[in-house]
Amino acid sequence: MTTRSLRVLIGVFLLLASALAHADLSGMPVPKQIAPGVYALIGSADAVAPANHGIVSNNGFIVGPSGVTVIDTGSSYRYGRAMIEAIRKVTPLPVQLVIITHQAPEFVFGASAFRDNGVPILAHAKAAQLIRERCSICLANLRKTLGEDEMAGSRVTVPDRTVNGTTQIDSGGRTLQLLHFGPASTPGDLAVLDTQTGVLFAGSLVSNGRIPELRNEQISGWLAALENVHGLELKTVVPAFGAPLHGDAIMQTGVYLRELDASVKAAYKSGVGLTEAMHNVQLPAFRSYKLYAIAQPQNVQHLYLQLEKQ
Amino acid sequence: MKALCSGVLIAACLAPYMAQAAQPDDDPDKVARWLDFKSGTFKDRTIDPHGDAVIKLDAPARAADAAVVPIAINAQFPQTSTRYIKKLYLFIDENPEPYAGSFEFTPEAGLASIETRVRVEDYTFMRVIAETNDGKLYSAIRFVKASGGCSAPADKDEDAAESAAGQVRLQAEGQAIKGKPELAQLMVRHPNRTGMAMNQVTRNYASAYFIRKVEITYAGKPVMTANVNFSISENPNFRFYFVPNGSADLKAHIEDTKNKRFDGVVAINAQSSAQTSAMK
Repeated sequence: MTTRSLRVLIGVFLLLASALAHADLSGMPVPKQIAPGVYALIGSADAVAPANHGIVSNNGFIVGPSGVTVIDTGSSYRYGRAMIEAIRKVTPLPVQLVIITHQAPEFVFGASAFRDNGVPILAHAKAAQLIRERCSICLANLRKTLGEDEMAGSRVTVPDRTVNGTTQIDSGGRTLQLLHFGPASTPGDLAVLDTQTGVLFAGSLVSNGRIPELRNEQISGWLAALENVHGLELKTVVPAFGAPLHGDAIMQTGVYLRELDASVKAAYKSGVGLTEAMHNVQLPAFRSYKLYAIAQPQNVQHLYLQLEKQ
Repeated sequence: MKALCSGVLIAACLAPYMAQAAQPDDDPDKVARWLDFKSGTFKDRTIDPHGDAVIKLDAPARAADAAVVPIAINAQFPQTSTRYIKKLYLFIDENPEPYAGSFEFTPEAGLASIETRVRVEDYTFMRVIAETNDGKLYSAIRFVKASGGCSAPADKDEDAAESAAGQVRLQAEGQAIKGKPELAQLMVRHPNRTGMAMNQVTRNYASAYFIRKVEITYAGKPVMTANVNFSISENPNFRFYFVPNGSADLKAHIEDTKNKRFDGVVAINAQSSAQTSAMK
């Protein structure tokens, strides 16, 4: 076989693979079983854009003996519908609960599709409050970025069940721990641990290969939460963005936060202005991470303005 | 074919939206509100659209928080008594009140550069017009994509913000050197309310209340005067230059729309450049 025909064959194979992967909603990831009964849908980790239909964040579901628990819901009603279809292909069992790990546009808007089916939606009380107060702005932003058609049917869906701290629940016949480590990446972060398999859906505490967007964080709390997660003996960690992680790899998020915090403080102390700090506070080790060009200056601005208020 | 159709569909569904929002590839010379302002303010005078040798505007292409968009207007030559930038006009096309205000400079400023933070409504062109002492006009333009803050902390108490208004911090950055433009920073605690934002908690609109004038003097002589409005972000912050020439006070006088006056002062002891090099 010539190199050229091999290339053609590989091309055809890739086309077929992508056609299968994009069966329903264009760009919809196929649920990947990462442990018995535990499925993850891994988004592109890029910035939300029309080309990716907003399918950038991770989410997943856990199939128990009597039902399904969904963790995070993507950025649109359409995605939530596609998620329901994807779950149906895996199991006929009903979805019993949706857990929202934190308030961010790429995680909350699919919840409307589950609410239409009468599924209860759970979040930390502070995440629920932020969703109620802020998500209409997020929704307007997403409509602007993705267009009315992509966001059709999407609405602010305030969770109807809340927890105030770490809680153990039984959902669908699986024992899940909802871990809250105090204010960290947001005031109301939850991480969801499937006790049977040791898989943790870390929500926005952990990102893989993507710069976290600082909006409402508390860095010291966030670093402590990462230490806590690291201390658990986990099989796999599903981050907010990027591929699932194991072992020490989750601490990269902490390395970024520490370096960012230290470099913004140094720039601020030396009297560097905000605009210059946004240009010049660079973290070369993270330059290859997704969103670096957009999120790095925004994160610098965010921390700089906090220092100014002190 | 499938890809093409979905592409067409996306374009079709975006079309109604595109009609209303400004886009980076729009022609900045055809924005109606700008043309109105231009003819009203500058009449038939020509504006050099490639003012790079006079003025540069630095603003983030994508801003995470539309309420605080940092901008830097950088003069490209020092102020002298024979050639200097007299005035900078700041215009943000899509803002409810697009003309954000002006900054006037004397030769005593040393450098007619200014940094501040502005509110930006939506996707917009932002432009700075520099007027030099010979009456010529130059412009610099940037396109900014700003969106509402998704996760900003919930609104705070407007009354508390207002009662804390007026705290002034004025400082110079580093050791001042005689005859060399020295960077200074003015920070004023003030809500600088637009009167157009709904408090997400109380669902009420607080009335507009903002700083309208900032006058900077050094040794009793004017350096920079800003006439601005609520396009400047909450807790207004200005970085600007002045030329120290010994020991004298740098002063800031501020007036807001309730005619409250606030003042700041800092004593500047400029050293001669020989002294500073001896210190090193």
